[in-house]
Amino acid sequence: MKEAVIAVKNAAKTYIGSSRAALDSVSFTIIRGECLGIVGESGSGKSTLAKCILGIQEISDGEITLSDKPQAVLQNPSASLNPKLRIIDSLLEPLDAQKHLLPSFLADVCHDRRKTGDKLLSMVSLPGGCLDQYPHQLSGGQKQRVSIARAISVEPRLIVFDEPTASLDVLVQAKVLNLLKDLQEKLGLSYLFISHDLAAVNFMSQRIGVMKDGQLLDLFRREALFSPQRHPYTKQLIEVFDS
Amino acid sequence: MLLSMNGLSIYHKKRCIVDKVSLALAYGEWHAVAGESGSGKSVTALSIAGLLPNELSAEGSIFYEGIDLLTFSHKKMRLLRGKKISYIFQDYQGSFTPFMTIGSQFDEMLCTHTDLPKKARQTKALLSLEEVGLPPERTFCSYPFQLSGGQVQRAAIAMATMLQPKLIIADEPTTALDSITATAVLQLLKKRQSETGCGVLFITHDLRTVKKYSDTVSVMQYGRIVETGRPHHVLAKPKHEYTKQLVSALPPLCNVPVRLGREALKEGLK
Repeated sequence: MKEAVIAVKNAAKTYIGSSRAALDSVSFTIIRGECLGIVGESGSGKSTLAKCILGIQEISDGEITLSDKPQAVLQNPSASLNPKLRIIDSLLEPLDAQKHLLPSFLADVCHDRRKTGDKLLSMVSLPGGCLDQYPHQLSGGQKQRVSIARAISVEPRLIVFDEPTASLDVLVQAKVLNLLKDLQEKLGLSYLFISHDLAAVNFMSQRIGVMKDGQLLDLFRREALFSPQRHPYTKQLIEVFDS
Repeated sequence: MLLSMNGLSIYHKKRCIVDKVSLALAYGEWHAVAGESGSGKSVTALSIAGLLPNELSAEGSIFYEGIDLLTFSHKKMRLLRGKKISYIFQDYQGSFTPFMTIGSQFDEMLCTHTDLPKKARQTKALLSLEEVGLPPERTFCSYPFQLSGGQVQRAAIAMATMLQPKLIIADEPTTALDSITATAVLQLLKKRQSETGCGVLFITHDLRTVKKYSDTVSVMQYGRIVETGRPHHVLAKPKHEYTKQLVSALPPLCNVPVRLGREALKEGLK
């Protein structure tokens, strides 16, 4: 058995002033190199789960064990980049702040900020010319690529994606999903891929979890999507996406 | 034909955004216009009832029941809009004024287009809210921000179908909603369509919904319609390169490929 990059055990979260649990005893692990997809509708608790893993929110009960600090790529690419910073400064912020980090794929360029930026952008198929631009000069898809480049820049073990393609249209979404798969294979990354789009989750993941009302209702390998043992809610989701 | 556009072009100053688009919609038909952002599908939809922003201008003709809407005055258009042609937009937050209750906005519309007395107007509004599955009294007294996204979009459908228009233009009505809520909203629109027999012009970038709900689909790219036909036909055997790209970019549930539409997507990383 490969090592787990994250183990979540009976994680629970109730927001202050709310009577309803946003997360209700959720448990799963993700092993090295794996992509676990979480699918659910708005209000199912999937973003709360992401926030708890990233340490933006604290869980009220249970345990989350991480082997390394996770990185995040969130839904709104415009909000993840500081509008006042040039792309190069946003992109290299994690590396600038942690000088001791020497990602293996940046070994040959790490002495030079500009070359490091170039290399990172080339890994997400963006031209180096973007480095001196500001976020508003890039399209939504380009900004999301910058966020992805920034997430991989510290060679994390786990990247949490919360609806990374929700604001992109079909063709751009397909390109971003392909890119994420390329990077995962090349760098041996593990992903937690959260989305309400079952088809995208199914394309990305080896295992799929289905969330509703804060609970993880169903957790299965992708091949078992059409198995009769699926939870009725999972079957309902399949009906929406099966064409 | 309920609606027929002939050689419709839309310009921003000298730049052509929509290029000689021709499209026909029969009574009771659900016609989808599919394409990605910037393909010109939304401005095409806006031009029908004269909602284009001032800096844009339209040429060609848009016949609605035999009359050219492009020659209509603002005044005549206002009588038509809401009563005969109604819109449902993507941005449900923007569909209602935030500081007026849903009920008073329904009432405003009924005052504009009918001579009904106050009591009858309220009954009609409550009935149409009930028909879209919302708790009528509570919704009537609510402000838009007190409802969820799916509920606001239902209220927008209730308002758009209340006066039984012949044409509903739905511009990405479910893009901002999650998939389950979106399905419920589309099924509702389909139900209202079969009850009122109206035609629906459905603007979307989601090919899955095109396949499920529409009778006809037109695929739009760079301001032109590149392919039109029955959805099952167009999506199963796309002829145009762009339609092929759109179809191959959609992740399937069975026989999941290693990469999405790789060949087709190779060119141009934007």
